[in-house]
Amino acid sequence: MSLFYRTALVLLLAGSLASYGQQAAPTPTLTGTFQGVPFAEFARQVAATTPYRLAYDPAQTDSLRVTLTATGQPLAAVLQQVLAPAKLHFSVDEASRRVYITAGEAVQTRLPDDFFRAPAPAPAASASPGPVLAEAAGPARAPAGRVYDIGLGQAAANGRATLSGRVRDARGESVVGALVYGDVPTNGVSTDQFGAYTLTLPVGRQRLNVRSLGFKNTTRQLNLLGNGRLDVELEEDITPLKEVVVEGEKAKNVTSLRMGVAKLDIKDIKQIPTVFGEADVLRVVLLLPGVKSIGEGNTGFSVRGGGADQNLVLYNDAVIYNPTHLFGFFSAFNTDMLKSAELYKSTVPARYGGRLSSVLDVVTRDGNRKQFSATGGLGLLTSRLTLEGPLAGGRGSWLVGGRTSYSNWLLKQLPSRTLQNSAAGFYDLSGHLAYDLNERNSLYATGYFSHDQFRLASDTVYTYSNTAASLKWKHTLSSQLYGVLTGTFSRYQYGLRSDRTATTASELAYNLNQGGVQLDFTRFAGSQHTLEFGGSSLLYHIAPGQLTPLGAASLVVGTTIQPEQALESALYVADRFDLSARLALDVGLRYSLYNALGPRSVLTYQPGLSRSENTVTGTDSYRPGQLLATYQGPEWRFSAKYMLNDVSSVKASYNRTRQYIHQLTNTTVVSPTDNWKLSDNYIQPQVADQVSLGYYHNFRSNSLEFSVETYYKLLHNFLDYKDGAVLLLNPHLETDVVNARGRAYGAEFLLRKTTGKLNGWLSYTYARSLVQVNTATDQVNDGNWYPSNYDKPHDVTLVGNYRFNRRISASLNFNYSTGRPITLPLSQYYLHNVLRVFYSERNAYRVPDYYRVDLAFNLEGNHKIKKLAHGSWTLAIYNLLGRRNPYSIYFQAQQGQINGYQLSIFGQPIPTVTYNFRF
Amino acid sequence: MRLRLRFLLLSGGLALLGGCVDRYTPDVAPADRSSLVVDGFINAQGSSVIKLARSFSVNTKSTPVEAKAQVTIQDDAGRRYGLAENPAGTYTSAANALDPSRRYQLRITTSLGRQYASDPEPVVLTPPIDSLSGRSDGLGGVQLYVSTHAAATAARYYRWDYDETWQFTAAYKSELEYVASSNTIQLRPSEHQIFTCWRTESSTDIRQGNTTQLAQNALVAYPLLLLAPTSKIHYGYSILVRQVAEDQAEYTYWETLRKNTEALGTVNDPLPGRVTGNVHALADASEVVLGYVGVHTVTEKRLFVDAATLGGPRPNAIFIDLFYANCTYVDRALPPAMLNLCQLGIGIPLTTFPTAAMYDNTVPVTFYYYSSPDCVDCRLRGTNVKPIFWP
Repeated sequence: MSLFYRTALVLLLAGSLASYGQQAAPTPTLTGTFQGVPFAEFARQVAATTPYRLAYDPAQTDSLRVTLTATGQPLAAVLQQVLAPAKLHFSVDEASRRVYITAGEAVQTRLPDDFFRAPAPAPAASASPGPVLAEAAGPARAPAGRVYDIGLGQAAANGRATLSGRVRDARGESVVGALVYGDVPTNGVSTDQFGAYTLTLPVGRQRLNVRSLGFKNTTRQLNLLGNGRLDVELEEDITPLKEVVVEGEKAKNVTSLRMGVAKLDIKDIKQIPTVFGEADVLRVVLLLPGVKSIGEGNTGFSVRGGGADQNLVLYNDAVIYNPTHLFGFFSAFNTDMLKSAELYKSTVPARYGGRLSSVLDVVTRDGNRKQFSATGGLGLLTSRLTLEGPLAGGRGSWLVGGRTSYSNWLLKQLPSRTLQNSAAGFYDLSGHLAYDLNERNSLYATGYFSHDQFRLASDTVYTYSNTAASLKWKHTLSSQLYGVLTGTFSRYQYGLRSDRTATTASELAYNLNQGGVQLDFTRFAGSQHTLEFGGSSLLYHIAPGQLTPLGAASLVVGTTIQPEQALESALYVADRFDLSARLALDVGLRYSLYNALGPRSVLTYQPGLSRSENTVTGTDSYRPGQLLATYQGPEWRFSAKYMLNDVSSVKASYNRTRQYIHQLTNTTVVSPTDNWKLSDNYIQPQVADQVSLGYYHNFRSNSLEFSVETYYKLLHNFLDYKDGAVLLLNPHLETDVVNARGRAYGAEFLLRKTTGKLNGWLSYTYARSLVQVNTATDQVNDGNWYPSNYDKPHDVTLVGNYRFNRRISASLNFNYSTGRPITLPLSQYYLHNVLRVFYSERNAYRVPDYYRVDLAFNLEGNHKIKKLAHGSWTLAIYNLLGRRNPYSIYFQAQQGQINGYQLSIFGQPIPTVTYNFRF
Repeated sequence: MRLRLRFLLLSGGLALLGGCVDRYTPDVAPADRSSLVVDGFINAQGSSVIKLARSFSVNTKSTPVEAKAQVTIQDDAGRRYGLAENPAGTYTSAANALDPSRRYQLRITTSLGRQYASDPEPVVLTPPIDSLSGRSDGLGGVQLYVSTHAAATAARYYRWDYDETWQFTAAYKSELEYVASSNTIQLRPSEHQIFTCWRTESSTDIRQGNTTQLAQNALVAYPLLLLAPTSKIHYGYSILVRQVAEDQAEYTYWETLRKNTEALGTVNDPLPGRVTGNVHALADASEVVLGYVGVHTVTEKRLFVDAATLGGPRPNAIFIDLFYANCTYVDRALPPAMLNLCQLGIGIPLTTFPTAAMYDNTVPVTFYYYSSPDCVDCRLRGTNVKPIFWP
């Protein structure tokens, strides 16, 4: 702590000493009112109203805003007031009537009196052709102050040249999504997934600005002569000393073309208090407007009224089918491995497809290219460790991480016998390699495995695991064209094993395999167009269930549901077109083709009747590889942005998405036994159309951002279930599901403060999600519209962070939402000698409203640079008010009565402590 | 410190797995909890029996009947046939012969004056059951089959319910009986035997079949019921099957009801759904009324199964009646004790102990074997009167 005070004192002194560098006051005075005016504007005003002109380095003053009212005050006094807080100095050369503004040291406008008597010192000002004052900025700012000559000897067409390069952080990891722009922010580009950018700029002297979440704003002085390359290294913005979200991202709220995109930096994620003290990507995603949790503690999510299966979760481009651990209390991603997570809920780029509602793109870090390091955390239920280091002398890097729970051991300590007989454990492992073969070729490889096993006071052991791998080759064909070839593999499997009773001992196995290749190209065509095109192909194989008896005494009859195969292919092209500085369009088309493949035998049904076991007419057999069914169609992706002015914009988008794989879930209980089912002769692909319109406005120099997004979405052919549907081990699922129509609409309001000691966001969402099953043969609720399982009209989320000082910060979450719909047993009656239950219409009632408050404190270790490990403590209280939010509601028949129960998993405040370290 | 840490760990773990379970009483309007239930059908060829009741809240056990209602069968020409109430909530018509060319509905006016009516339905004539047969399933059980046929234009959906009757015995045979009037134990006359009884149960499950995929409207040896190898088929088994033909709407109603009646709430169970029927309140179409009143004739057939004649293995399980698993008997009860047990009704004498052979005693003493009534008196689970249809 004492170090903190010392540092503060030094800073204060520095601030006050700065004023001593002034020269004698010039006589002119200044009159004017400035309200948050950029320094450049202020300088223009000074030049206009006084004979003096200001010479300054824009790189040093671009963050400076001038707020003052001057009425005939001396210019020197005004300048001191303006510059002292920024620790800038000025000196006035009366001869040329110039005011030189510098950092570090004031410029000597006259030679010292004893100049000619002593040995000549180096001149203070450089004679280089760059800005005179830039060199005086001192060595710390050398990269920013230096002038880079780009494209010497390269011809520039039409007075414009293309600049490309990579943005990396101090550890050599590529920075994704950094905003790179010249003097005009609206013409900026974002770095791609490899940290690469390509920008077309007018030739000549200018600044290149790079801004990204979690990094200091960086500027390069360019002398652009022709096409060329410039790599930029960003300096990390050390949290928690500074705000987490930097200004660059803020302007993006307004200027970015995409709607409904939320990028979460890992630092953002780590601030949010979580239930077991573990930073969790999915849990933060749940706090975003338009994203709703499926249940307390569950990280399954619904985006804008879509189903939980309509979200494509990618881990370095490989699909993860069940991104959760332990019933969804933990996400399956080790936060230390991650770089960022990006959620697309409105405009899905044409590159992605296969799911209706959203894409969650989780990207790992590349690893430290400069030195070996380790990160980890010790928590109450889990611990994790991540190691990383350079490869081949910094040309590449490696990163491996693992996480495991010790809840199994914990359960053994509990006094309850049932709990002692329970078991719950999980682990996940992940590895990543990045390697630059040469300047034009890079390779990336990722592997991932997660495993869960639990038995909760019953005799059934549940296991499930995800496997994912991806291999990526990036090849730069020219400065304007590069391609990425990606191969992926994903597997999801689960099993139920019951062996306590010999006669019913059995094992159920399910697995899903998916392999794919994808080729993506990005072409920068002039300053106005960015073209993306490519194609992909995915092969699915699902073994939807095999029940095998265990042991000789078992009376269980083995069953195997026949496997499913399918090929899903797509071609896409998208063009980002900047029509003017104000208007930009992104037009994309993805065409997808789906083939369900044999071998398979398919039941046929009487036409015009509801499909059931009683309407089967026969069986069609298909040979291996024979086409069962083909579906295809275009998927439009369109978005437009119009800048109303520098701080506000309007955006609109229209999106069509198609989905060929469906999750079958009995939402009355939570279980990992959710089957994925491929489209076939009867189960058609789901199609969604969404239009959105949004207004974005930034206040207070982008420190406060406000947005409203509205949307209307139509869903076709998504699966709903007939009354009494059986989903597991059902050899003819088509008899139990019906094609439903859905519509969802809503408005999302977000107010976000990004800078200052207090930051965070407040959002309110009004959203409806309705379903209708009214086909010629099947109806649910008499064919009327009814609320879907995800219909929670009102949702308020507050995420707040307050930084007390450099080492202590506190976070508070508040979350309220309407309870989700439920089908209730209303009454019971005797009919035909049997007691029967009368249910309400589907989803006619709602569970109690949900609200929760969480609080967390982060305590950073000291800031000594030289020490073995950097540690930090997180103390969190989940559900501070102890509200018993229902996790599930269930009914049990007990002695002729049906009693309702609500299970609250986190029914009391849950304190946790986590120790995180890094070395 | 160690203890502290452990406490924290435990609280986290308990929260994870124990959670807390509270009673959940949903806020349901009383009107939604108490709907009229109409159980029965209009018999076009005979007496119709309709039971009226109210559905009741899921967390109560009461079974309120709807008494003192006016119930009539009405055809589309306006002709009415009344039903009389006896006992409360059960309404029975005279044996009618309804005109098969007309449509019929049930009209109900409750004691509170609310009016209900079922949808007018045409008469569905049920073809006779051609045959009813049983065959050993090879594992000691018996598979029962039903065959029927009708004109191709007739209804193609069938539903069956049935009454099963089977013979069984008590665990121990009583040769003695207690005569209360004289407070003595005497030899039991054969007409008072309580060892062999017959039990009759009505079906509770819903059995349906159809011929919609068949070229002919005929079911041949349609598997109706599988009798497991239990004591039910050990001594003799008789089944009376009632068949009704129905239209598709009625078939769908029962099919949905069947799926809904299965257990709900575990991983593999079906999703619950709403089943109402074809009865509506006249004043308020949105009021929920439960039950489906079909209009059809009924045909029936009886089959006697003597499992011993079917062949095939008869595993030991067939002899074991779980009901008697805990039965034991006591010997050497002295007469005063035996009488006392008889008076209290907690013991029934089986036979006497041969004392002379065991005791060299000048005073002859009679010991009794006895057991509890539920092991001796078969009438507790059936009747000792042989049914008239029993061979």
